[in-house]
Amino acid sequence: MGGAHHHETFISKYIFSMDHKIIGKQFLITAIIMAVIGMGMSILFRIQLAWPGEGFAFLNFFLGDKWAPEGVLDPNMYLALVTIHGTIIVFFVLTGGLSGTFSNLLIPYQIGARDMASGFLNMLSYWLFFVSSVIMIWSCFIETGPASGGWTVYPPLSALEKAMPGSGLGMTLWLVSMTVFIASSLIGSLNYIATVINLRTKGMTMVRLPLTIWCFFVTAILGVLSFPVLLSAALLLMFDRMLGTSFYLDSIFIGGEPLAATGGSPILYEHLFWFLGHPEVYIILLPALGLVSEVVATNSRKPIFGYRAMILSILAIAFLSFIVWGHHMFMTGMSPFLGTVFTFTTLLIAIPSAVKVFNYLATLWKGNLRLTPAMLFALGMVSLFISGGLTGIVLGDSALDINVHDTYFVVAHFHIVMGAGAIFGMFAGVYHWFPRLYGRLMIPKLGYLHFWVTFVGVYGVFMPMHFIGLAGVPRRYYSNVEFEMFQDVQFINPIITAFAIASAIGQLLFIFNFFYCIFKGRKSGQNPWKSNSLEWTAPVGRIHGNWVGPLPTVYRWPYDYSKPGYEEDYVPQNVPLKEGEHDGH
Amino acid sequence: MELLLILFAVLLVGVALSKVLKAKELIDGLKGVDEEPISNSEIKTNALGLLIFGFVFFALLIAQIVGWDKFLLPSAASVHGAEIDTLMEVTMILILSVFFITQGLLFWFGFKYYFKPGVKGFWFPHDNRLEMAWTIVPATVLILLVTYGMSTWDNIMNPKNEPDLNIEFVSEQFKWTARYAGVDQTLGEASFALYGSNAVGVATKDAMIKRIGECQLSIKGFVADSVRLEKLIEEGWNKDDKLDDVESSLKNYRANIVRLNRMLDHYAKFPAKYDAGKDDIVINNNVVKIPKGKTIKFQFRSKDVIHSAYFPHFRAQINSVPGMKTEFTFTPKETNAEFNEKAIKEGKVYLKTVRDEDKNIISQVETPGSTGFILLCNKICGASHYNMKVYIEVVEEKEYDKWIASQKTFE
Ligand code: HEM
Ligand SMILES: [Cu+2]
Ligand SMILES: [Cu+2]
Repeated sequence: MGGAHHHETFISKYIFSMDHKIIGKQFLITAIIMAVIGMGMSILFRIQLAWPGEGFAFLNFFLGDKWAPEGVLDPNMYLALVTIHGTIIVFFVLTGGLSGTFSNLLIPYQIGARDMASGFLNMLSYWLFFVSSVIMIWSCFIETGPASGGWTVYPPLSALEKAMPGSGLGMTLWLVSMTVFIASSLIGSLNYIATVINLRTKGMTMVRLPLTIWCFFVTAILGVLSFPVLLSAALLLMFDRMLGTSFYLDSIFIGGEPLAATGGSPILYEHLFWFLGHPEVYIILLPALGLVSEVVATNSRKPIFGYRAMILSILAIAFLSFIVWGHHMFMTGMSPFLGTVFTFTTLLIAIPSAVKVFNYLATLWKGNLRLTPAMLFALGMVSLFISGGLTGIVLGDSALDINVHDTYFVVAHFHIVMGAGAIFGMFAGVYHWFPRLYGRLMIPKLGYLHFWVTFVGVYGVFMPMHFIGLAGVPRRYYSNVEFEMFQDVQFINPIITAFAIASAIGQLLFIFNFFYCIFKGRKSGQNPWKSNSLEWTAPVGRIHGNWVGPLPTVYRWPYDYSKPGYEEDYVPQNVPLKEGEHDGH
Repeated sequence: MELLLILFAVLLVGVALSKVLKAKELIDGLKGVDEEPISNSEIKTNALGLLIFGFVFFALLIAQIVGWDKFLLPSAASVHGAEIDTLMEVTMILILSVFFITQGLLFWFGFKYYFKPGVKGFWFPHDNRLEMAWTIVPATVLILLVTYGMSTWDNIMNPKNEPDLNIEFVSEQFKWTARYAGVDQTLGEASFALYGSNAVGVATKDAMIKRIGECQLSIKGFVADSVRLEKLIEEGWNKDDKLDDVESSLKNYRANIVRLNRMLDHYAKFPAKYDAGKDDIVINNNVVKIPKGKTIKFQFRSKDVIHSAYFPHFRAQINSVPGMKTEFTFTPKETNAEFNEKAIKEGKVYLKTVRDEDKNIISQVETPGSTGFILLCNKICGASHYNMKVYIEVVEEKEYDKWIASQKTFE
């Protein structure tokens, strides 16, 4: 604990560190690397979609003669890239990376604790994450290629080696990697929950917590309740693959043979997968919303509007997210009545989502908006959340889903709301808390440019996809021009790919800015954004135990921005209430 | 066009790089700690940026909605599809209105309230009436919408009338095979135990007996293989995994014979179920005809992995899952020719594409109308998932009757 003498070597300080700040950085940098890989893959397959069948020497250079003969992507490799791209972005960047970075960095700081409840488990969580990342990347280099059944890896496709090359060793490695990943996520989540419950400083009641902490806390609970279900789904799939069981297999004829394994159901897997899968989308989204709430309030110089309503919405979303998973399965042939039920619960979840959006708008109204790069990314995130949430209303309606399920409309929906939305939240977080991480500022000009390239790029990529979907084009097609009926929307694909390439290149701005400013950025001072929450009351730089001397005491909620009766437009949480003053909300 | 886009991308890269280089100079100039981290002029520029972005974004979206409508699917060619289309229209109007209002406010606020030094934000931490209002209004609207949606779904998935026609599709990597129920309008029993030369596994008595014979033959072959392999292994050859394969095949075929015998026992008790397959008609040339105005119940089975039967023009879709029978019932209401005419009236177009023998495109012409009905696969199923199509032809009843009468029955 703080102040205790112990000798720090380089290894214990930076590699096997148990300090929440270092672990947060480790998660962040690993996530950046994974994001670059995931994004790079998407460019490779976007090229095939834009110019199907045309040879590109550099594809051959990257993938070799087996997977890109004469520079034309092989269909199996196409599916492999799509699968690993999805897996990496969903799990490694937006689940492990996002929660790992910001829960670690902010939970102890914002609740006024010296560190996580268990530094050792925290370290373990990172290193398991690291190992699972390495296994996932390694699986891309084996002879038969990585898992290729889509990020949802539905059996029997993923269970039968004869169904596709990726269902061989690649799929085994996918399952092993995910098992390790789930262990990492569970350990991390338990630690976050324990920390928030037990280590809040004096005066930090639950209704004085910043919304970031509420979001991380609820996210961790979602993770603890849903990831074990994915683990069991994965284990049963391993058994089917290796031990000859048939949890998911029935009446299969493949490679010219009727399989002996019968009696299972592939639909069982889908239920288990989506029982995690839908909460998972909120495991990704909630931390982003938490970061955005904090960035929006601080930079609007206004209290977040409807703090309690925000907390209630978070709780409602969390609860409802466990009873909507069936909306991913309307077309599986499950009982139509069940479809009705899931339609109903799904549209219920749109209500708290709407409340959140209105509350953000009310927060901006009559604010004094300091449009930092972080703030722009936060506003961008709100915009994306609106766009993607609204198309969710189409998809959640089972009758409408009949014709758009598994088309590009779905791809557009979840990339906007979850992919881009959460990435924007993450960028907002990095720009905003960079001074807390490194005591320096990122270069604003580059940040702005990065925002605009990314914002234009994301909408340029995903808005047109809705139309391709409404023209009936299915997702996960290696080529969209085998059907004459889809020829007329093919011209949209090069446009999308151009935007994708441009925004991918635009990320270099961020990467440069980030790494450059770690060493050379302008010194930031302790509280550059004039923020109220506790992390800015701690001195710049990394000290064991975060605060010198006693921990701060909290007297008020974190959103006293522009409070009447105060000269300054912010009042940090550790400033005692004046006589007769009421605590904020 | 493509060239233009590439140029555009290159341009963006150029701009980005030049900025990166310029950044270095900037940093050198910006070393003091005391100044505000962000300058007011930067804030103002970006506020303007938000406003401009909002306008351009809306303009481009509207341009796409208007300009690209001709590429989207024509209105539905099935009876229930019309209900989906109406529901979709209502939903789209609703979400687009909400979209323009909320995004409009977002960009407008972002611009209007940008930072001015010395100004304070408006203290407005909550307002119960406002919060109630924007919980209750969306809740009411959504409940109305969802009630409408659920009743539509119920009508579609629980059709009231008995089907006039029963057709089955069996999916496999990477094609569909159809089976018509024949004069008795009953699909005979079928099982994966009979796949092989029997494309959809119709289980008539003769077919089962024949299949047992085939399996026994295969077993003989595998036994011989395993003897040969064991010998090689004794001689020190490294063939263990080959032997494993052979043994698993043996297991599969033996289990299959047990299964077929069980089916024969079952046949003895309920022969009618199996005999119903004799007049079934199997169509595996990727062209399937159906009569206009008849209610057709489509059933789906899958041989290997999950596929999904998607009929975009009919607004119909259902997964095809191994080990499970799924179904979707719809009534086509237009023949191909009628549908094409309607598509022309609706201003829809397609690209008439002519290819040479190597499938290279020779010419593409924007043509009014539609390409006609298809069934395609909409669940990732392997390498050629992107190319699993069946042409559906909706014809007048008379023509259908003639066509089906000319097809060969199973036995
Ligand atoms: C707000 C955050 C949201 C996130 C992060 C999110 C994420 C996702 C993801 C990842 C998928 C794709 C699954 C797949 O097919 O592989 C998806 C599909 C879907 N989303 Fe959302 N979604 C969100 C909001 C909504 C809302 C508000 C609704 C409904 C009101 C909704 C309804 C659906 C439905 C029904 C599907 C399945 C569509 C299909 O596969 O045909 N989503 N969403
Ligand atoms: Cu979902
Ligand atoms: Cu398929």
